[in-house]
Amino acid sequence: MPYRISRLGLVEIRSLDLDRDLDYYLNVLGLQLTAREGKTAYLKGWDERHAYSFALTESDRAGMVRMAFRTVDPEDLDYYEKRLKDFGIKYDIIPEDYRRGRALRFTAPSGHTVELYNEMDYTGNVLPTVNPGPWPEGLRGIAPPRLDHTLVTAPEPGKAIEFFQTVLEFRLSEMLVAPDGTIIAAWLWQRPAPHDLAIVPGKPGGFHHAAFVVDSADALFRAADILAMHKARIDYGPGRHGITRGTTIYFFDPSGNRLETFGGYTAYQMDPDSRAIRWTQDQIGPAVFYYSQELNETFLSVYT
Amino acid sequence: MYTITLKPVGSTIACGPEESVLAAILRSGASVMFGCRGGGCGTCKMRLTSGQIAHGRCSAAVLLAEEKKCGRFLSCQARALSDLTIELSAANKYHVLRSWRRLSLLDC
Ligand code: FES
Ligand SMILES: [Fe+2]
Repeated sequence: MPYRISRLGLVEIRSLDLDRDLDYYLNVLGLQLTAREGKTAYLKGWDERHAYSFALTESDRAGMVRMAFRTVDPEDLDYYEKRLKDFGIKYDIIPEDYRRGRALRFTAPSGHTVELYNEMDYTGNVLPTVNPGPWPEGLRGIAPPRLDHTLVTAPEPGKAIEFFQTVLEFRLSEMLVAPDGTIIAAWLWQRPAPHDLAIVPGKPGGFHHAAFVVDSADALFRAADILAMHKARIDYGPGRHGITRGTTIYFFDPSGNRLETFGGYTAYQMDPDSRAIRWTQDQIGPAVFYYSQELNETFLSVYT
Repeated sequence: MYTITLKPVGSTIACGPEESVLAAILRSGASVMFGCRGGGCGTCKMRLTSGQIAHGRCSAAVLLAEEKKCGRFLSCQARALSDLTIELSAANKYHVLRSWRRLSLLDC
């Protein structure tokens, strides 16, 4: 089965105060601002080549507006359109969006708005395209190179996981299973990395976190320093997940949306025939927080 | 400084005009359940039985207009505008930290 999704291309979340939160996203998290259009700011990591990967929209609440996946080829969008039809999933065609071409928009069984698209303006990263250095100088804040994945909640995670597996052909990298064998939570991939998307139990449409890459242990600890120096609320870490092996810091933006710096540098590579790793329910502690070996009080109850 | 009375535990704490109710409770040496500290998750919700507060920026998804009318507020956002009485529930998981008790023994 070929890969048809190249990456989690966009996460859009809500902000209770765009001016305040944009300052945080630019100077503490250290994303690059592509543009601010009315109530929405379009952002990205310094090493991302398309126009934006993260959008922040002012609202009376926090939480997720939508997630969007970019297909590998333009034809893959047609392929998925046919699959949505075949499975009887209602969808809308969004002819265009800010610096982006046609998209398919539908609601996943988890209650989330999901889009698939292929075309977005190719702006390049912040480095020159001829004879570039390895990284740019003068970045602010944590300055992650790119968006990595998102974790969302679903009232019936099994149904949502099956939807992403069956209709959108995501593969499972890891899963948490109940004693009777039912899947409680799953980590899903197409890009050859442990996950593009993960689903855990919770309310419909819930946003648990969006994760940005940090690419070394030094960068992880530097990120923690920056968050603490700015009195940001750190939820957990620096630590390590048993699932994916990634190192992690969970923290919150000023509107209370959880973010993560994810150290995929400790994670494994996928092969097309990689099979899912199983975690048993009684080991949920080390599965999520490997060093403390137990869930903290907020992991399953606090999200937006 | 205002005084906050926490019921049913009966303790009283001081709260400055610039700090959130949550910050005042944590500073008093108690622990209480909270999450995002940003007004987004609703985990720190409490109920006011007397006094005036400024609600601050709260997600309308976790603090409904009806709830506000019944005195509910997000303690991570709310500022005291007078002395307050707050009715804690089990969900707030209020408890005084033992390490602070020891610290106050050293003080005297
Ligand atoms: S702790 Fe999340 S709303 Fe107060
Ligand atoms: Fe994550």
